[in-house]
Amino acid sequence: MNCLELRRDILANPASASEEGLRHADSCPSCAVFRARALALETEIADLLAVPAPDGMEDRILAATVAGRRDSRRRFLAMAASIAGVAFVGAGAYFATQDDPDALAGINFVVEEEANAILTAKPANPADLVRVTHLMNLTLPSQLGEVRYIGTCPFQGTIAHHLIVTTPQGKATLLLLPDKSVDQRGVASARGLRSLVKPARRGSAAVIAESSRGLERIEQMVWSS
Amino acid sequence: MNLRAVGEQGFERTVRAHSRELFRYAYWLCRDRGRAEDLVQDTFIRAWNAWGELRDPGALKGWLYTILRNEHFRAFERKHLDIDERDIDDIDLPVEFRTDVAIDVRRALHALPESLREPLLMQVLGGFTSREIAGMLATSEGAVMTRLTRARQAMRKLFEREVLGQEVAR
Repeated sequence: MNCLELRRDILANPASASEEGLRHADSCPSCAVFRARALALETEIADLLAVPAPDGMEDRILAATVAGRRDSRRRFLAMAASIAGVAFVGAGAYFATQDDPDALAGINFVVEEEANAILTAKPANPADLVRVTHLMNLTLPSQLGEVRYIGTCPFQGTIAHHLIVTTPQGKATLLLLPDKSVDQRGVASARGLRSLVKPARRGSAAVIAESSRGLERIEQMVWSS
Repeated sequence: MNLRAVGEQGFERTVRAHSRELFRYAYWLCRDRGRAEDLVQDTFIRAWNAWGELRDPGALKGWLYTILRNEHFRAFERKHLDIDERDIDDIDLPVEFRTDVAIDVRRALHALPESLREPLLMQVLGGFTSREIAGMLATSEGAVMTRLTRARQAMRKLFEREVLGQEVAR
């Protein structure tokens, strides 16, 4: 191993040296100094990187995961009892089939991520929204309701054009997903919300609303082309 | 044995073993303590939801790093890094470092471009090998070594600039 090879190895990983490299450094004072200084720098870097973590972080993580699962089991049992009751009275035929995973993801987004998405979103360009709706062959008529928010955010590994609209039936969220295709219309009902996801000319769109009536109304308007 | 077999207790041990290290990685990615904790929490939520899918417990730490990294880039709508991967032979190797004077490591680290800082963080904080980093960054081992070399070269140059500035100021 020559000086160049050793120094190249040291720069790539100062903490790891081959026996051959160490032998070279032992016999080459210049490389020995180079290695010693590289290790000193590495120690400084490691010390700098060791920022303290917030107190109680592990407990908060466990509360949001393992403990959350325990809670969700209780919620599941309560929900199962509730669904059984609903089924008994014959209600909810619109959502009698199994929840569509993509539609369900839309509900989970609204409940868990929407607020944060709004806070962290970049300023939206309305012209982009117009372009995307045209590309997807969807319409956003003014009768839809009052648009309260537009932005873009990550959703299931793709970028969603995110709208929040106040409709006569309450608040609704639309996620235009030009880069996410679905095969067919799917619906879900969970956490007090209804949602559907449906193919567009390009990609798909999801609607999350507070009632099945509101959902149907938005669906008719947005997919009217 | 897979992770499903170790269940909730195994997950809790994993949280306690790796969350602080992941926090440091997250912090140096986003440089915001609040955001960094959110990233770590999001990482473990995703890991918990997929707990049992990872068949190789030896890959656990790399898996967590990869989830965190993906979460970070999802949040910032970044799909790829601006990486320049010229051959390592193009690199000008320094004769020696100057650590005999005061060095502002923090400023130098902040000034590194993300494509260089990221593998450096993985190596110094996570102790990953170049090959493991290459797997996480979906690139070649040679490219990782190039970036690590460049990271340290860039820091050296920044130190020197800092030091020269201090000397001129005197």
